[in-house]
Amino acid sequence: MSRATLTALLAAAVLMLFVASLAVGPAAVGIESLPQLVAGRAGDAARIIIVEVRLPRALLAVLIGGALGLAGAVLQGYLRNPLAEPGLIGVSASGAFGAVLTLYTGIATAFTLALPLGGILGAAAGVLAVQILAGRDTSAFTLILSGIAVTSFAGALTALALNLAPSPFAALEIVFWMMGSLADRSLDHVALAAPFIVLGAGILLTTGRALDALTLGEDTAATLGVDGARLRRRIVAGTALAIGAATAVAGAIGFVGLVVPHLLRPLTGHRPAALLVTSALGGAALTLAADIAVRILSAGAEIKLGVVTALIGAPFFLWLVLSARRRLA
Amino acid sequence: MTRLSARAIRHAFQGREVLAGVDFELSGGEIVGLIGPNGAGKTTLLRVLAGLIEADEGEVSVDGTAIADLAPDARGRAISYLAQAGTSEWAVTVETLVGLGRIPHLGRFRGPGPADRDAVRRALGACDVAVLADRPVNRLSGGERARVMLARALAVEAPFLLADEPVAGLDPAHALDVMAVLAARARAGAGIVVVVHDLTIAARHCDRLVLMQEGRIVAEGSPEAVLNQSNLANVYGIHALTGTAKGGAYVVPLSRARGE
Repeated sequence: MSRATLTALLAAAVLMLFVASLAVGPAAVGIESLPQLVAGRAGDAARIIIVEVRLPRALLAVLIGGALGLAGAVLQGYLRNPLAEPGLIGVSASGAFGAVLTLYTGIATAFTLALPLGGILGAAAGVLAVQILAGRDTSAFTLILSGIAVTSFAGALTALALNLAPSPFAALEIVFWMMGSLADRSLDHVALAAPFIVLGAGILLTTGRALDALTLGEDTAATLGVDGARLRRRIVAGTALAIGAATAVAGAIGFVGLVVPHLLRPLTGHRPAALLVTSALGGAALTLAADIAVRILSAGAEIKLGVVTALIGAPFFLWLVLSARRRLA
Repeated sequence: MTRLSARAIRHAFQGREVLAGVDFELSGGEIVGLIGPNGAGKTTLLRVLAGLIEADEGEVSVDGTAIADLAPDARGRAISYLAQAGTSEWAVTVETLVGLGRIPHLGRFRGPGPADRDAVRRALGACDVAVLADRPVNRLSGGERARVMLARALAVEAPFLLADEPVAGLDPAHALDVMAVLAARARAGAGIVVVVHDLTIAARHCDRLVLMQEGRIVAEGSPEAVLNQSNLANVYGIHALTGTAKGGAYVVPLSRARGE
């Protein structure tokens, strides 16, 4: 399959799932309402459900899923490790802590966007700490170590917030938020996250050629004209913007950034640059599909999106382990 | 570009002086063997020449322009570097891997063009790996991989090529193949530095040898002049059988020199 065919197929899948996402939900508003809405003949109830309830979810699924897939592909290429994922440089954990802090202190209820803004500030603080820790060294290794340090510290602070939560209800609210979800998000959330995600994705998309060069290792890449320090700055900034905003709005949605580049890699000839756009589309498709599954599966209590992606991701990981074992045997 | 030179290079790692004042010249059309015992500073010198290490003191220049002043991609077009025991991190095809050598020639928004594809084809042909073009690089034998990596370095078509132990771990036939490719590239006008441990290979395929010891160049010149009994005993600490056969010198290590 050529890269153009693969890209077209993935884009078509995203489009179909996007439409399906507008047509599926507990309310009795189905696919037949979409043409009516476009023609301006839909009822108020149908219009509100599609435009104000389902459209933000679908848009966020595309933006966030795309960011996760793209950042996963970039980090796997940069670290030359198929197990790398977008949270590795600490931005997810610190973003989550920033959001949790607004829940813990009650600021989250002060105004609608307090929580995602807290998340974005947390992600920014985390990435700043990673940059300072990693210093001027340009190797990927120090970046991973700094990311692990920041992730652990943010995780500890999040646990502390849970530990000191004023009531069991507050603790539950924090835990539920951390599971990751696109439910009950508004177009305001989309407007807040979209500029960061689009800018971050734009930066990440410029790294393709340098990632290709890194196939030969850091030294040889440097002799091919890759500026290691500049590449790392772009990757950290792009990931921080895209994944920081994604985490701030939706909480932690695991495994998308790990699984998608992995699945698509053999289909793109294993070339890191060929994996960027395709992984963004694949991430958008997987997140849309998982979010639709959430709505179909949730009869009583809502099953969180992060739970569904983990339920898909963990068996996939198992399969990775088994196939690696077969190869080594 | 015809001249790559290093002047008064000094460099220390963690307080230990690895290069203690090295002057080095490379001209287009010659193949220079960089030899010396382990830890003599050969790889460090090669990395300084490639611009991978900025030396504490001294300057590396191409035709009078310091390489530190060249833009990264301009330096990439001027100096090609073949890393020691290089491997590929991803299972790309041989053709894709060799094509990475064209990266310094690509514009920011321009992909590979006909000139780049021609260069890749020439490199694949020169290293006799054209038949492997569609093979994933993780399914190559050691000898095939070495030639593919060399093809990647040749695809840059740079005036200077620095190769760090390109024949290490290869059987004699493959080692001779690799050296023949390098010699052909030198005859075509490129300046080539090759780090070699096999002294017979070095003697027979290099125009000039540079012998290093403890961060200094201790001998330089024709293979026969450099690989004399006194240098072999003093620098390598060995007694060796030396001589010439079939138009070139050979060195067969026999025993440790006593008193070293």
